[in-house]
Amino acid sequence: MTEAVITRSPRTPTEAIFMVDIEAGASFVHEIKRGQFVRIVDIEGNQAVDTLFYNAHDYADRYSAQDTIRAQGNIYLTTGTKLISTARNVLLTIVADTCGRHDTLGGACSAESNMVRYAIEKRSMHACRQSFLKGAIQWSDKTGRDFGKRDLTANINFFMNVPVTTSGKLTFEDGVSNAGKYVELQAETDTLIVISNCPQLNNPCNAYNPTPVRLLIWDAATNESMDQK
Amino acid sequence: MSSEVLWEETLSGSSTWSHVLKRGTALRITAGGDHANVGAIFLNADNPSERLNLPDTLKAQHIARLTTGAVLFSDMGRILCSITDDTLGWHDPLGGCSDATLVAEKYGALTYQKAHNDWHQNALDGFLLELEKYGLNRRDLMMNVNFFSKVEVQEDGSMQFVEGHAKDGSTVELRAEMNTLVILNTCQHPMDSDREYRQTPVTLTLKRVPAPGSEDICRKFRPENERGFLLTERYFQ
Repeated sequence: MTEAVITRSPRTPTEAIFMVDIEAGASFVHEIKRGQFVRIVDIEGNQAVDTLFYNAHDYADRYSAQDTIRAQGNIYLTTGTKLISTARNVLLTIVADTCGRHDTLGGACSAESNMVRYAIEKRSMHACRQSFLKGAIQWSDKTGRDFGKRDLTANINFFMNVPVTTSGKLTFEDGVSNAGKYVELQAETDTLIVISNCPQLNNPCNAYNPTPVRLLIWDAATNESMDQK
Repeated sequence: MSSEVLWEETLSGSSTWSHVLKRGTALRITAGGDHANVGAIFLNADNPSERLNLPDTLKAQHIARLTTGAVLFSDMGRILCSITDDTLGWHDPLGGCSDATLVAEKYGALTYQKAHNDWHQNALDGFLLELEKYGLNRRDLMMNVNFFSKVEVQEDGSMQFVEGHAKDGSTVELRAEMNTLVILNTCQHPMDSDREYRQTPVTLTLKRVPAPGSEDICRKFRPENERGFLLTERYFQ
């Protein structure tokens, strides 16, 4: 594996306007305003943070894995990656990354895919798409907006390592993340973020130990003050 | 494998087509020239909220290319179609589809008045128009497959479109394991570095085929596929 490029953020937690810890197995839905920064911190290490992004004004315009990787000519996401939507808008840009690369091809686990991948009797185990659906239903109830299973599409797995080989194999490797690593994105448009903090207990990449993650948000003005320093 | 041809038609280049491929039938696609590309999406025709999930398809089978033996998994752990035969060994699940801006930038604008049916179409608009005919829309768009195309990924993650992969007469055969709404289009691959706008037709052959047996090549491809077939069979019981 090539050496990951590490880019630190100038923003400090004390200046954040919002901070929340998301437990393993929990979902989280929140709107990020254009210009704001959102940081996801892998608190204990090697946790997969399954994340969906939508244009907040039009949920049918959402993160597209294929358009994103094609636009940047690389399947791994890191600092500088622009997250492209299905309508070819830039939703967010990754502005800092102390992990170095993130997966966008591995998708999110589900009760159904766990049956296929591991064993039929795994259906009852909690999985990311259960969390996505729970978050979507709650958000729809709260806002009155139509938002459900049809909207669950390609996701990013922050901190996850899913290499592709030149012979066309897809492999799952041990995580490349460690405790305290983070990724930070700036919203280029008002963006809805839907997170499932992965509860996967069948996969050794998290040592069978799902752990919490932290999410912080800064206002756009924080960046301006940093630029002036 | 014994089979009975039901009908055959030619789909011209740069156009879109759809059909509900019934369980027990198969669609054979034959390239009508070099440079062929067939972008495709798949939904359960009886309940279109169930649709192709490419990440599940790739990770269940540990593949980043599609070939004989591989199956196309839905987001519900079932199999929409199986790839029972192909002559290329590699069909692309990564490159996505072209859009109007990409086509105009790459090949220039060509209007209908000037070019009639040779005007410059794109895959995204084709998918959206065809989805609309089934009461579906942008919310139902998904990651697409590109049959006949090859995108290689290097160790550093960089992606390269492989020139000259598809040849005239290349084939791929898809067996429907559900009643599967298939939407195809023949627009060029979005990463095709060829600067000429090509319109390569394909021949579509629909056949009636026997149900997959216990030693079926797709069933045996991976233990995951065996479980996918089991879940699909339960759905029809």
